[in-house]
Amino acid sequence: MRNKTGKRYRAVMLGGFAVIAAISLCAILIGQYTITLSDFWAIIKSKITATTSPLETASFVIFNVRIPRVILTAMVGAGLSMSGSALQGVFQNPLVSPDLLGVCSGAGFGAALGILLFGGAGIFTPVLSLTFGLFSVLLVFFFAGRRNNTETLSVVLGGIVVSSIFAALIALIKYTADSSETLPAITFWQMGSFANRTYDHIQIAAVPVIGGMFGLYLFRWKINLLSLGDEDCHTLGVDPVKTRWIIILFATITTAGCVTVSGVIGWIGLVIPHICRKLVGVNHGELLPASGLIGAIFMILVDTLARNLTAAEVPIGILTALIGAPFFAAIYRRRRRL
Amino acid sequence: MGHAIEVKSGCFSYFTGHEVLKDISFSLDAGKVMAVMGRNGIGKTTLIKCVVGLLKWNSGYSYINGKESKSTGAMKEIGYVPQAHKVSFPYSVCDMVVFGKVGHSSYFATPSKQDYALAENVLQQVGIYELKDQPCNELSGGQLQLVYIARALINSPKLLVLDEPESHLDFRNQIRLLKLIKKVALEKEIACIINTHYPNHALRIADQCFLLGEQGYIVGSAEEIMTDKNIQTYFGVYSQSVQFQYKDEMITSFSFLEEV
Repeated sequence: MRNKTGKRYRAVMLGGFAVIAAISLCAILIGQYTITLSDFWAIIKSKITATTSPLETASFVIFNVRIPRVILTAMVGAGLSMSGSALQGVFQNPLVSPDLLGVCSGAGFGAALGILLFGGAGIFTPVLSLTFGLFSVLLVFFFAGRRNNTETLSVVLGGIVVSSIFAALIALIKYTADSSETLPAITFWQMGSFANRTYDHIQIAAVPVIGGMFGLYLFRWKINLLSLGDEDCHTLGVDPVKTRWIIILFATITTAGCVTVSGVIGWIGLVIPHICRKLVGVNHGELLPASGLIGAIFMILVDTLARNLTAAEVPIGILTALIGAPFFAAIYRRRRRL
Repeated sequence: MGHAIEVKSGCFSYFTGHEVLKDISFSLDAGKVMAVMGRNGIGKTTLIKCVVGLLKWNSGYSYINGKESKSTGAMKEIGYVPQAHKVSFPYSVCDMVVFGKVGHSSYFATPSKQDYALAENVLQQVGIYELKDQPCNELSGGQLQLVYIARALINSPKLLVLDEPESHLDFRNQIRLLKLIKKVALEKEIACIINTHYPNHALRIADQCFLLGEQGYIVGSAEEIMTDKNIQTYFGVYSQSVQFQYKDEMITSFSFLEEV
């Protein structure tokens, strides 16, 4: 049938799963508190046989610090990359990022509010952040309304408007915030980090991120049709306006879920889809799953770097931008020369 | 009944008060080709869009195979071939043809192995099987047009609608395309509507012609409609038709002389 691309896709996915398993293991072992492979096996064995392990600290680090962190990192990486791929397809523009609709600003405002009101502790900050992230999409929806013709443009404009409003509100909170504790907390949140994340955070993010990704996966072939333009899409039997909103909704729910627990992490949602197009081609039926997998790998890798590069942890948003932006510039230049 | 397509007193206006299409009625049988002609901006594309369901008649109906077509949700029975436009992502030719199958299937449909086999089959009929793994944005305009035709044919439509299919093609490719349309119409018993600017093409393949003017329209057999007099009234151009024998065909060809 479609042997050429199909084979390539299977190879990338199989290789990807092998790599993500290896990288997750490294991420679990490496850190301030280094765990050897043999200790790791001993702990796993004692966990399975339900005997108490002599390596209690190591066991605590593995199960309560490293494993939740790797799960969360993988989820956020996959979510951001997949929604980036989907939105780029739907808007027929490979320069679109998951932040297009102002989700990050909305979620950022929610988080800032949470930090201001509750000191950032507990469950309130992520919940507020998620609420405002989704609220920002709702605002864009009302802005864009039901005007069919200029749909794409009005969605983008709506995103800019909503984004600026929330950016201003964040600035307002920062301005009034206590400069010894609240202000740095908000600033650090905006740089993005996976430090001190627990199973609670996974619980908050799991439903929107996994649900949103599943929705995008179901609609992956419809994204292909939407990327041909509204007229083609309509005559091929798919209502472009309705379907586009459904996909935007799934993509932004996913993004909001990610941003809520990780803070703002840029570039992943823009760069990973480009890399994946090189690997598996442009068909979103294959691009979406591949983006999710490669995005997860990339995020675990960068987060492990962020933890280990210096004694104090580097905020991951800084690293993704520092790695992502030049990387993007490099592949863009190479593509032009070819 | 029994027409592949029948339009009954269709009216359409973009703004109230300014009717682009007034009281349009025609019918076309399976296996026949109809050429829609008229000046630029007279509403040819609008007519085609109303027929396909991209635009909704303000009043009047179109029936495809006896079924009323509705503007919400395109019908599987209609294959639409847009003008060869650029694609944002370089999908492979095979994928592009399979997309024709995806839209009309259920909401979460993914193409099956059979769909890909079908796509290859259609590509063979259209004569571009060897292009199947090529990215669409590396094709010439003519090749891309053929890909879009294959995409429309994959659903075995009852009606094939083509919007100026031979524009931007050199005349070797124009002749190939026209022959293909004629072949498809006859072999698959599909009714074809094409929008064209070339009376010679219309006469070559159309059984029926539809001339759209500002004051109204005429529709009838190609020989009846395509006359020097009608070209003068509908296009504002003096013309001279020449007839000659080619193989077993009697061919009429127009030369355009001067504006009225």
